[in-house]
Amino acid sequence: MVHVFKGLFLECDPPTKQFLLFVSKQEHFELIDIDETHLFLQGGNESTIATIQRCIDELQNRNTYSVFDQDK
Amino acid sequence: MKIFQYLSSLNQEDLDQLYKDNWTCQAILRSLPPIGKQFILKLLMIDSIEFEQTKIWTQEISNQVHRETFKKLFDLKLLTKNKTCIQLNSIFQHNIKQSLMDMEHRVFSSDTTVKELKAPTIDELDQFSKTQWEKVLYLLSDEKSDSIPLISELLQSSNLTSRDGNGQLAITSEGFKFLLKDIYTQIWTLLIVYLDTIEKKYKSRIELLCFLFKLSFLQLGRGYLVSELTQLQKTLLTDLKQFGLIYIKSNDNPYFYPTRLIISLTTGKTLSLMQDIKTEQALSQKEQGYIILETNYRLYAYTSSSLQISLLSLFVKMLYRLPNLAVGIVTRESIRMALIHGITADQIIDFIRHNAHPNATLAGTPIPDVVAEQVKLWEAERNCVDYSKAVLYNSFPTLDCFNATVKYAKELNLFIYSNDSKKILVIDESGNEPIRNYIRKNFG
Repeated sequence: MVHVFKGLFLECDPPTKQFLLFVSKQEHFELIDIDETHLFLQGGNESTIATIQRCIDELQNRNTYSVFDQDK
Repeated sequence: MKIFQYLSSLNQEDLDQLYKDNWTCQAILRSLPPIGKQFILKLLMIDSIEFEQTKIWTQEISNQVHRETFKKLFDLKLLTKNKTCIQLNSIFQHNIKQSLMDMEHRVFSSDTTVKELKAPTIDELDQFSKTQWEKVLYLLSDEKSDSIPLISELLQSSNLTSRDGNGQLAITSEGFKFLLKDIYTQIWTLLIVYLDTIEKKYKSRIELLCFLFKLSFLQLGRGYLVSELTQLQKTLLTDLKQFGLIYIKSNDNPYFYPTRLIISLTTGKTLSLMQDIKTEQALSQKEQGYIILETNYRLYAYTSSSLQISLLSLFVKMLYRLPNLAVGIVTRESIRMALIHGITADQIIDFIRHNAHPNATLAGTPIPDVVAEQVKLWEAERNCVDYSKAVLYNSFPTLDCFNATVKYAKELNLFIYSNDSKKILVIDESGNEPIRNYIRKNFG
């Protein structure tokens, strides 16, 4: 029988997808892995997407190195 | 022009009411584009004309302009259509005729015999309106200043600023776009919001609109008697002073002075006929760009205006300020703050390009490609996950069932994504019912 899930359909690049899979374990999101660049977030809503955005933001902040930091 | 959009949104009764005022009719006529003016004048002395006949008024190549102009005139309810004939709005027609015949008509009597002791000069008026309007714009960029309650209220209700999580006022992306526009569009934007609030309070929007149009016929540098105005107009006068449109020395002063801003409000140009071209050129020189952005992300702003510097500090980390120069640096962090406020990368790039120093423009690139690209990348990294509300179907019993459902979803325009090998179909959220019914009916 066909299964139906409601939620958010996510599209991103492969590294981000891996990161999202990692985040989903921590935050206990139900992610369905579709392919390299697509994920489905079961029962996702605005607040879960906000959490995801925040996690990505933190990751990017950790990985940013600015030449101007030395100016300070 | 902004005001036409607003007028077009009014209903027939309001507009008829508005057109009863002679000066309003004139102001509208003179702010129409040239071809619109021509059409009005052609129709002025005739009762009605077959719409078909108007086709010969323009050449075939300007068909587009022709149609647009007529649409505009119909929107403003200046023209009415009666089966196949068109005619001018009779009230408007009457008033324009009237004003053509009566050249002696004056808006307000300006009392030149009783010279006020310290009448402001034109330069002083220009200076006043400039600083006043800068103050208004300054409210947009500076979160802390709440100095003009009326204006900051207007800015909020027009969505140019909004309170963020901490209750602090901050500029919105709308507000940033607003800053990129020319001054008359800016004034109209605020005035229209102001009119709406007035309408709620006194129900007299039309009267005030007429008053605004009237004011634009006054002469720069002349004083006019406050006592000739109605009570409501006097209230408006004090508010207009805050916009820098009107100058009154103090509240009980018998004279008020129009500034250049209100006089050219309906013409949309800084040009006023009384002024010689040289001063106009000098004025536009001052309005020139001031930003030089280098490939090393350093930004030099040749300006002494706090407004411009505080605008820049929305997306630039300012380092030092010298008397005529401010130096800053574009960093990921500073751009990120701007992006969080809802300002887009394109807006930032446009802003820099718009205000680039003439020398930077001469060199070819007002904004170095490397910086522009980087700003766009910084924006892109914030939006690296695309999402849409959707419904996912999997575990289809047969491949036929899967293919048929995919085809059906595509027909209904609900299809988002499908994966053949895993037999997964993703459709738009709204399409759950029809798809489910389809599967149940055919394969259930």
